Amino acid sequence: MTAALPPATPPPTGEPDEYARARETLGVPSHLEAIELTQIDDDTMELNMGPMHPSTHGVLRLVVNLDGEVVREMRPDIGFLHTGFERSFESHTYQQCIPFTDRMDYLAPPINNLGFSLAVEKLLGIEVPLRGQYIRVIMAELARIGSHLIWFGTHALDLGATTPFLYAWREREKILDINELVSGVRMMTSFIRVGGLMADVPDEFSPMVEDVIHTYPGFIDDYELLITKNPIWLERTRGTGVISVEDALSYGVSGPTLRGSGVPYDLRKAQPYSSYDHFEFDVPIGSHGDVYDRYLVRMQEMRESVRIIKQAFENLPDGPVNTLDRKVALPPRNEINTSMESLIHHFKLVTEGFRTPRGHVYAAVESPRGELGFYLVSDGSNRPYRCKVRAPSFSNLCALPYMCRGELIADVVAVIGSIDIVLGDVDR
Amino acid sequence: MTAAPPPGDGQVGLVIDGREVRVPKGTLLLDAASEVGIHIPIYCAHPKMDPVAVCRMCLVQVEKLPKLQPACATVVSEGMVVDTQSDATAKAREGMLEFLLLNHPLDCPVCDRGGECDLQDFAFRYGPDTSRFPITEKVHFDKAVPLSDKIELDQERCILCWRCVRYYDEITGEKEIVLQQRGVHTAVATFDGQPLRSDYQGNLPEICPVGALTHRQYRFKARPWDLIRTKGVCPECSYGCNVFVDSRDFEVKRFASRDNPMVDDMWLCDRGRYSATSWNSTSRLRRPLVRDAAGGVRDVGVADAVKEAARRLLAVSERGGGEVIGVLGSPDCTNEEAWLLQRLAREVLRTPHIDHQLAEMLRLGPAEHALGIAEIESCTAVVVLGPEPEVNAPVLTLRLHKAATKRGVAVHRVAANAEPRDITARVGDARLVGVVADETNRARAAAVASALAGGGTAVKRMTVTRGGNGRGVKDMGLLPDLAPGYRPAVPAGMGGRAILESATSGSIQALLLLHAGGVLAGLGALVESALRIAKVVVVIDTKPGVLADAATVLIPGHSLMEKQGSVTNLEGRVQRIRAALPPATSVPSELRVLSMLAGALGAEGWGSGDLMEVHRALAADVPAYAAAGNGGRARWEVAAA
Amino acid sequence: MFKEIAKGMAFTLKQMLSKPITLQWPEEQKPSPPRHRGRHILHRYDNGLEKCIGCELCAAACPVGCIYVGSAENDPAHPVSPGERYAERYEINLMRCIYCGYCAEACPTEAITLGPRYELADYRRERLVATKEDLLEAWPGFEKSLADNPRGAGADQREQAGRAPGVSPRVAWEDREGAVGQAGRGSPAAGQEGLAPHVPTVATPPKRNPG
Repeated sequence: MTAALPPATPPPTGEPDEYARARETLGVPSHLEAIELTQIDDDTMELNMGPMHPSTHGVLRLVVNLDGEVVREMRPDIGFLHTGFERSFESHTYQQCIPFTDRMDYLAPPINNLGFSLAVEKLLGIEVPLRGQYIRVIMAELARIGSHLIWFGTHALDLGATTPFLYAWREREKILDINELVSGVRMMTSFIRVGGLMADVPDEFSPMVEDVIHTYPGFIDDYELLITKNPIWLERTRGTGVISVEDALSYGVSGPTLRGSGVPYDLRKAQPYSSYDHFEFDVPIGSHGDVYDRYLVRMQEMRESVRIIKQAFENLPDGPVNTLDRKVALPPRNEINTSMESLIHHFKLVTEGFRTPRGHVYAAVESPRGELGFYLVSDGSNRPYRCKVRAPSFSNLCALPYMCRGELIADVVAVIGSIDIVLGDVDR
Repeated sequence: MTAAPPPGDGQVGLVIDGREVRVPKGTLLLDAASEVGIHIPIYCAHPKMDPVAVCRMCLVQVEKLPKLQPACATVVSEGMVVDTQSDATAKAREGMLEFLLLNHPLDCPVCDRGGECDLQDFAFRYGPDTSRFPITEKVHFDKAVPLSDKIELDQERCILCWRCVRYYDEITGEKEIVLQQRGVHTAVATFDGQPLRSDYQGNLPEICPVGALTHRQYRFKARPWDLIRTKGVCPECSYGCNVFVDSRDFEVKRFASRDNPMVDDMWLCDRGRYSATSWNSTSRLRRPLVRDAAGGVRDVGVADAVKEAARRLLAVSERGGGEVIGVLGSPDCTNEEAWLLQRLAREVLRTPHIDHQLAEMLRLGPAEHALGIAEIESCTAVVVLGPEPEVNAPVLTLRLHKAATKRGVAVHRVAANAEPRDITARVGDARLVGVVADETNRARAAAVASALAGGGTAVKRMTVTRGGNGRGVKDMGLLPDLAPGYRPAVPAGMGGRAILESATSGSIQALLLLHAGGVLAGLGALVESALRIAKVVVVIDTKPGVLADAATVLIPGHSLMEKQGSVTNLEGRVQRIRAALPPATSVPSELRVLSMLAGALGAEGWGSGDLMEVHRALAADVPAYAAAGNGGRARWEVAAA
Repeated sequence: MFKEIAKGMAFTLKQMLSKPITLQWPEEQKPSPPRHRGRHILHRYDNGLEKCIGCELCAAACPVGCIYVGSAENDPAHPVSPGERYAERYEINLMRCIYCGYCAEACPTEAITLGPRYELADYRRERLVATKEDLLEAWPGFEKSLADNPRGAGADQREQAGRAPGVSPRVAWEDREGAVGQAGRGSPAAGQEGLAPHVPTVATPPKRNPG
């Protein structure tokens, strides 16, 4: 494509580079040196996209090297949402870390909770009762649908379709209502805890989940009706942002972005956690690895999630939701007033938390974005010695420059939407 | 598993949890386990007291013994194989904890001990997680019984470990607490219901493993997770007990003991311990002031105050030479401050008139504090002259009691003015005799020591200095006749009282007073007239008072809880103190102020007054301090004295 | 092409006829579920004593350290809470709070809960540090007043009402509106004989004479 463009003209000799002059007068901080805008000797141009840009889905800055309208190179600049959560974990007890995980991938907090809890539970060697596991699955899959709905709405909006956005948010509201019902908060639920759940679900939970099970397949049909065969949509998304299987694997891409290229890798199937092996569901995959296939995969995933929720809900066993290990889970509230042992355990768990054995574990869950892994190192105390989060958004973002290379600048928006990053997850 | 054969070196080999340990013969199993880092829960056992084995918490399994053995009272023997993690041990612990919690009230949320309670810790770690007994059947006792104005007792929370009873039996010998009634009704109480009178009650809540005995002063003041813990040294006397300064919201909430076997042996006196909150006084000097001749007062910045002080000091010394300036420090100064102050006086102001107190103490020498605190236990006999040493350093009493009861040291408490002859007769033949005296009784102590010495008897003296850093400021040469390190000062100047008298008579025209408020308090007319007549009074102090009112230049100082540095206790142990509170004033530290003052007076090469810089210079000047480091004793060449 | 557009438009038209799901906030309020984690409430027992005993477990459990509790000893003659200990100061920095509800879980007496109130914006930071008197429920009849005024007292109203010590802004708000008469306030309520007519929320009990 570059060949078709007129040959690059070098800047007039003897003229001081105007960028250099600007640098001299304004001064560029050294830490920005790596990413600064530079005049390149040919006819390309550097375009600064973000960090305040509606289609970067957060505070992401992209420095795009353009050759006319074609993206020649791209450098993502991240860190605008850096929160230091991984470091904060080290100074908080395990249970206190849960609210922090909410705020990493803030579109699917229960799945973050789940990943962290699974890692700590692995460290402790405890098992959550079946009811707890099933409710975790229901909450996680609801979160996945909610997250995909946001992706769907904003992705479509980015490409010019306004209406689906409103529909998607309307449907997501029901999921937030369920979040609010069970945990009291619509987004930062902190509902899944180490050793189980915040509490068992209330009675109103059943009708609301049933409503989701019954109505969502229809809603998804509606969305597909609007978008899937829409010629504009097809035009914008097919053949855009292609990534091959080999490249996707070597970039460490995971989740729907990887499956869109045709790799049937889903942690729920590959290494089932929290009883995912009890449920029947399919892993949708694409074949072209383009934006459109990723779209199809996510749409299909929502249907599969509804399928999982239906199975988990219908087979929801009775019994406790929290581990019976009283050295980890808080004692029942009524016992605090009558049992000295319970009071002491409550006091110690609340103020100091449980201690974990020395060691290190890695536990990963399939988040709406891909493999969300928690690597925990324990020194035997009541707080993590180190916690490294393998954030799917980060790995997927790494592949973004590759996917965008040779695309039109307008399609960058489509590709960003299709990898569905959350900057809280990227930066942590 | 078999242990190695006995090598016959007084060491005993045993195996604990599969780990081989070699410990001296006669060691208790508990100590042997802690040697290799194996934790055994204890309630009644206490490292400073003899074992009684009443709580049964430390039961462990010993191979070839039919029943579980209490680790706190079992002496190790060759080839012993111990298992502290066996099922039987775990079951015993769980059972014991269940018994202990049976009648324990559900007080954790209101109990002062919550969060730092052994009962909680062990119940969480080793205990059962559910109750089998209904709450309605708990036996109830008296709650919140004041044992004195310092200690509160909650009988319900008591687990009957006997530690408090044994503390009074073994550590102080006062026998004030008893166990009354029998069986499930057993309760701790004071003897005959009398309030506690001991001067060492503050240790009770600390040895109590639960929240049965609590401080009234600390009652509901903070939780352990609120507290910021700073290692410090109790500033109340020159004994130099190690403490943790626990602060919250920029206030000292309590002093907790920090075991230093060489000094305090983990016991604090009530005077020191309960002085903690006195550091929270808000009555403090906060801004520098300059007062002109007409009595007008100006608020100035610290730089201007220092300049003004230098200008006025120079003005008087230009007319009358350095001798018209008197410099007074106090035992409230850190070593670094004292050293810098004497350097300022001798090198910059060029005055020999420097002291840290009023009483004249000439020809001091390091021989006066040759006896170490822990060395008391290895003396054959100790002579204590009068009650003053123990009044001024109360924890000394506990050390003497320990020496007498556990080490067989003959402790002779004699009158302050006892005849050396009589003392020699009482002590008789002895290998090493310690002579303990107050610093006001130096002459008599010297006479006693020389009378005792000779004929195979070595004599070491201990002199109890006044004020927190009384020994340090003497070491640092805040004395009219001695420079740092007990080197003679040439020329010798006037002592504290003489300086004040000369100020009254007009031959001293300027006074530089560093933290002298405490020393000069209560002297009335002498101080007042001296301050009134002196032309220049430069005061660096923390609290308002006579000095601050009379100062012509006033610079606020940092209290001992707000600064860093080192202090020296009465045996010459150099110990570091750290800032536990933020300073009450924005004025920089005294070291910086003194350095600024030196600079303003025209001295060069004084640096910025950085603590480490000053400390290095100090250590270079006084090699004994360089060798002492942090926590060691400054070793002087005694022969030189 | 036209077929697709027609299909899309038909769907959109269908949606136009359905009932809107939007809520006319703030005129209309969305009911909060019982577990809602809004602004904190400090509860009282039926006899007016505070449930909070100042144990500071909430402060320890708080992941962000937004709770300050300063405890003191109850005066047996005029107790603020049952037992020996009560919270002399109780402050929550609502700006720092993340509404995770750990404090409510930690509370052994169920004194602190997270309530239904979620409209917490204010113009001044100082007012977003909720003090004990802001957080304490009015006594008696908190539930009743809540039903009448589900939004609770807004921060802006709080300023107008002034901060009379011991009077929750909620009470002041209701007095101003005349919505709920505070019959119990100022005189002993039924069954409250022997108790102080009004339990002070911030009080320093006189030192008990030791011995």
